[in-house]
Amino acid sequence: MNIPDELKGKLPLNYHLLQKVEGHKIQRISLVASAFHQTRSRVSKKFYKPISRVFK
Amino acid sequence: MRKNYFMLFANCVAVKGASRGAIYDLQNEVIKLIPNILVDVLELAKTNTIDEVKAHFGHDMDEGIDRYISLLENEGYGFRTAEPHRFPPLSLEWDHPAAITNAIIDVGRRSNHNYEQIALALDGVGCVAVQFRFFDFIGPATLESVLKVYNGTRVISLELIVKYDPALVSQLPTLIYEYRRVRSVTIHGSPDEQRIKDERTGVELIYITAEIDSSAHCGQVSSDHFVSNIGFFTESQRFNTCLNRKISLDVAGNIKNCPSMTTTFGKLTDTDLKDVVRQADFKKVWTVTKEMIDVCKVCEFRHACTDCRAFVGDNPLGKPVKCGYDPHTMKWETTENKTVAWPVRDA
Repeated sequence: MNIPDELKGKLPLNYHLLQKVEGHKIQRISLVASAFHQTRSRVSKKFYKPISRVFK
Repeated sequence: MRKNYFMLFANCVAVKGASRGAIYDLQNEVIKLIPNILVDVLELAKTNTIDEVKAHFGHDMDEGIDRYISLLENEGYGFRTAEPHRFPPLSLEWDHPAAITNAIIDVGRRSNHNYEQIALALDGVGCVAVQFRFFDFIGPATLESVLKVYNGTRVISLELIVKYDPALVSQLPTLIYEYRRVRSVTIHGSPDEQRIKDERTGVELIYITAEIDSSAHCGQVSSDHFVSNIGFFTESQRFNTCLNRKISLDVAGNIKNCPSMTTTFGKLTDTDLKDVVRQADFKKVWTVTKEMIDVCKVCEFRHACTDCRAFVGDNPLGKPVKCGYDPHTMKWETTENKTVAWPVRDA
């Protein structure tokens, strides 16, 4: 699927989502959108890195 | 229009190591191990067509390049395009709108912390994540009084490391439901090793048999702790992945970069954290990046691994002594060989 010309070269919030659309078939959108949402959701709730590592 | 360029998605970044490379998928939080030659191919492919890349290698690797590109395309790491200039790279700048992002509070048998004062001080410097490490028994009522003071603060994540005690363990589901800032609980000295996800909150309760009785247990480097996300990756470009914007209180109430380090910056009872975080001496470890550290600077995991500057041996810029990975041999110094052969996906 091609990205509409008016969106090319811009950096909308769902920039990465658009890239996925460029590289993949349309069926992938919902999956990617879901993964994107989960990532955002995780970042907002839990700190993004280990604070300390006292066990393996 | 012929799609004769191949690009990684901007949030998939290739990193070259001593003996192999890795693609960090910063969105799906996955690290894919790849041969170093593929990192070179992907670098060239940023500005050259696939045919030009093949010609660069004298057409000796045409079949391999086609195979790798198809694989990366099929697994969702990259795409073909006719217009690579439409897809600029991801900005790798990192910043945070507060002086401190995370804190460690160590609590021992003789600790005499004023938890309300700690919470106010951490809130004052903008801290969003706090880890409490209780080396000795703590009762449910005392733990609740520790958690309660974070209501109304900007802290969003509380991590607890507590000593196994049946009375406390039975109350944990109630406490983590009541105090929703709690994101993880590790119970050390447990009879069994197990991980249980609390159904109501989704918080993971990690039971480990090892006793965590001092800050000397910290600094373990393991693939289990590797992180691949945009915050960590961008922070690691210019800052230390453990100590940047971190503040700690040891069991005696001393303010430190890390409880395992020796340098102290006063006690919380008579020192304002805002003054501490302005000191150049306090901040000097923040900018020790993996690129400065022997061995680590050629490791393919250098942007996924949480560094440790507390346990480093004689060389302050040496590899963490608790890291058993050798990027030259690609092997871990453990009984278990953790080497993962490409193209197995390594989370």
